[in-house]
Parts: sequence; C-alpha cells; structure tokens
Amino acid sequence: MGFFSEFKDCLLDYKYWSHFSLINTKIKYRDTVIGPFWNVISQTILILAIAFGYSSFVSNKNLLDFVYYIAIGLFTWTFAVNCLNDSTSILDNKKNIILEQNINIKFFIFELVFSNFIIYLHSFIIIFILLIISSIKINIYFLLSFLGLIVILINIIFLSYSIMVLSVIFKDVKKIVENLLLIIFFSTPIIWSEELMNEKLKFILNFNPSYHLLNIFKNPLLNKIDQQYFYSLLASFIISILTMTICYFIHKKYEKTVKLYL
Amino acid sequence: MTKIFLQNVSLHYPLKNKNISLRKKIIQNIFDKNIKENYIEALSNINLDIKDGIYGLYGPNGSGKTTLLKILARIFEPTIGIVNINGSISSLINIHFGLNEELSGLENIQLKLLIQRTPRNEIKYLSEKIINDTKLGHYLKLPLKTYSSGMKFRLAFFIVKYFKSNILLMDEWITTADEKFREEVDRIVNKKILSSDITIIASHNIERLKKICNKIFYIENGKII
Repeated sequence: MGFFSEFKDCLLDYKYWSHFSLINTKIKYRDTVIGPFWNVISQTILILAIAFGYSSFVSNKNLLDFVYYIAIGLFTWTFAVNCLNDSTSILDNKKNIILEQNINIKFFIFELVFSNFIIYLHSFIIIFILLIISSIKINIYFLLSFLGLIVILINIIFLSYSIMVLSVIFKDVKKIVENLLLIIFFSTPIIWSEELMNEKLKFILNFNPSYHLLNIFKNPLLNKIDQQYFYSLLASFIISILTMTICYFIHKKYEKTVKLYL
Repeated sequence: MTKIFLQNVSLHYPLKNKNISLRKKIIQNIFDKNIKENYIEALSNINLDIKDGIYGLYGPNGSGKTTLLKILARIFEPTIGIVNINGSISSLINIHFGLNEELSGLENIQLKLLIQRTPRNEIKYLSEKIINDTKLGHYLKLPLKTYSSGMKFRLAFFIVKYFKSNILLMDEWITTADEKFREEVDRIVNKKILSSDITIIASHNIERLKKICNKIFYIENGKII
C-alpha cells in the first residue's frame, strides 16, 4: 500500500480514532471539575502575565489587541508542541496494543492529534472573548485561517509520525525535539511582536518554518492580509512538501521494522 | 479458502547498540550464539503451507514460537521472505491486551471491541452479551484497577470469546486458577477451535498438543525442525 493511501485510510478511520481520543481525554481529566479547561486557564494566566509585563509601554487599546495576538499564537503553539512532544512516547505507551494486534501505527498519530485538538478547541472561547473586546474587526478574511489551520494540521501529522518512529529507534530524539521546540518558541514571534524587531534582522524570520505556519493561521484573524501573508502561504506549502518528503523517507526506511524496537 | 503460506521467512530483531560488547556477549550466551552482527535472528528460513486443521507449535523458551505467531497475526513483517494468508485472524496471544486499568469494565468492553474493529452497530449487542457472560454485575462500573486478577481474566476472556475469525492463534492454552470456571473456559476454547478453519497453538505442553493437534511443528533456535 502506498504512503499517502495509508495516511488516507487512517484519516477515513475517524470513527475509531476520534472515539479513542475522547476516551483519552476522559481518562486524562477524570475526577477533575473543569476537565480540559485547566489547560486553557493555565495558558490564560500566562497570557495575562505577559500582558501585564507589556502594559507599562503599550497603550490600553493596543494592549487588548496584543493580548489577543498572544492568545492566538500561544494556544496554537501549545497545541502543536503537545502533539510533537506526545509523539515521542506514543508508541511506547501503546506497546501493549501494537505488539498484540495488527494495527497501523499511523492510527495513533490521528488519535494523538485529535486528543490535543479537543483541548485546543476549548481555548477558542478565550480567543473569541478577546476578539470581541479588542479593536480587531471580524471580516470575510477570517475564513482564510481555516486554510492555515489545515496546513498546520497536515504538517503536525507528518512531523509527529516522523518523530514517533525516530524516537523509538533513537532515544536521543525525545530530548532533541524538546530542546528544539524551546529554541523555536523563543525565536518565533508568539509572545513578542515582530514589529519590535530590528528592521535589519527581520529577514531572519523568513528562515523559521513555524513563523510562516503560524502566520497563515494568525494573520487572517488579525486583519493582516498583506504581502507577508501570501509570502508565508507560499513558504508554508513548500514547508509542507518538505515535511511530507522527510516523512516519506522515514516511513520507507523504518515502517516495517519500528515495532521490533519496542 | 483459508490458507497460510510462508516461504523462507526470517525475522531479525535489531540490537540498538552493536558496539556494546558486554551486552552482545550476554545475548550471545542466552540465544545460543544465534546472533549475527547487529541483530538477533529470531526466525530463520521458516516454510509453512497450512490448510484447514489444528496445528501445534512446540519448542523451548526463546525458540521463536511467539514471534512466529506474531508474524502469522501480521503484527510483525518478516525481514526476509513471503507471508501469504487467506482468511481473517484472531489472535489470542495475550487476551489481556488493550485493557485499560483506569477505565471501568463496561468502558473496557467497548474499547476492546473497537480495537478489534467490531462494527459500531454490533458493539451494543455484543456488549450486552459480554456483560451477561462475565457475571461481574455492579463491578463492571468500577475501574479495572479495582478488580482481582480472576475478575480481570473473566472480563478479558469473555470479550475475546466473541472475536470471530477463520484463523485462531493461541499462545499456550488459555487457563485459569478458578477450578469451577476452568471447565467453562475449556468448553468455550474448544468451541472456538472447532469453529475456526485453522488453529495454531504454541505450547510447552506436548501432551496437550498431541491430544488436539493434527500436526505439531517443533521449533528450536528460530527454525522449524
């Protein structure tokens, strides 16, 4: 079976992986009063703390827009990071099923991404409240953020698969991924604005894939459909092709043997 | 027609770090020098052509019985060789697989039926049958971690009872410490074997295999002798 058709088959198996994701979420937040909203609360506190720090040199009106800007970026980033970090241990965690039942391991990537997506969806309540109180106007371009989200999801799925497989074979991958994500977090305009950056150094951002991927989701929600948006859109498509190519080679080399390393 | 065909099948377990000589030496001793560079040859040049019947796999610990069952269950793909299987497979290599300690008995029933790809419209009907069979009553609403090992066995066993397939794979005879329940388990397992076209049982118990199998394969150091 081909590389893409295996992913497609897993995607079409949504009735199964979505059910497993719901069970996972249920187990994770069992016996808690507000469930996945704990994640939203902790991130909202972080956003408010950052906003408080910036309040001394940003006007009140701009501050609300800035809080909204941080919220979109931080919630989306957290979703992506949780998926990528979880993928480093997913095969180990599911070992008791993988080694006893003929099951396509890609199934667990969809389960994992959807589990995190359920939590991410809860944060949209905060994003919506912040949108209402900010000066950002809702317009037709907001719909473009769906395209951005789909591209982000595609990249997360293929990257998570690659990380999932490599983590089983090479134990250092888990730590490398954790550290790399930390570096990328601070070098991507998520909790800081690119407008604060030195004009001469702004070109560096173009070499950061997560900057483009976040832009194509974030900019339509910030009424920023400009030249940079289309440039990031093009860059994101190229990044997606690269991600899929890397994933294809990892799949080709290790898919057959990865279970033997468990 | 239900059929199992294996041609020159070998399976190599990778060794993660071939440079650790001490580890290599230990493994070499355990596996009787059945080691080649950076992998262990768990199965070597297996040829099988099986049609309807009950077959036994007999061999000492570490001989490759379970690994061969996992190849037949399509859990592992062979490193070398051809595997051709006609018919649906039900693997009873470990009946407890996929059970989640945090979930209740009822939730575990649904989870296992889902893992087994039971059509969603059959899940409710089968769940009710399993609930009646287990006779665990209100315990089914409690998390699995509160169950005794006997209760866990009851739950796991009655779930796998309803897995239907042409080919049945078993690692050792399913048995329980509960004497009263043992007869019922034997009866259900025998019924499952009779309703399957092909049954393969891996076991240390040659007497039991002789009683029920049409043919017994002797496996040692990953090879069928």
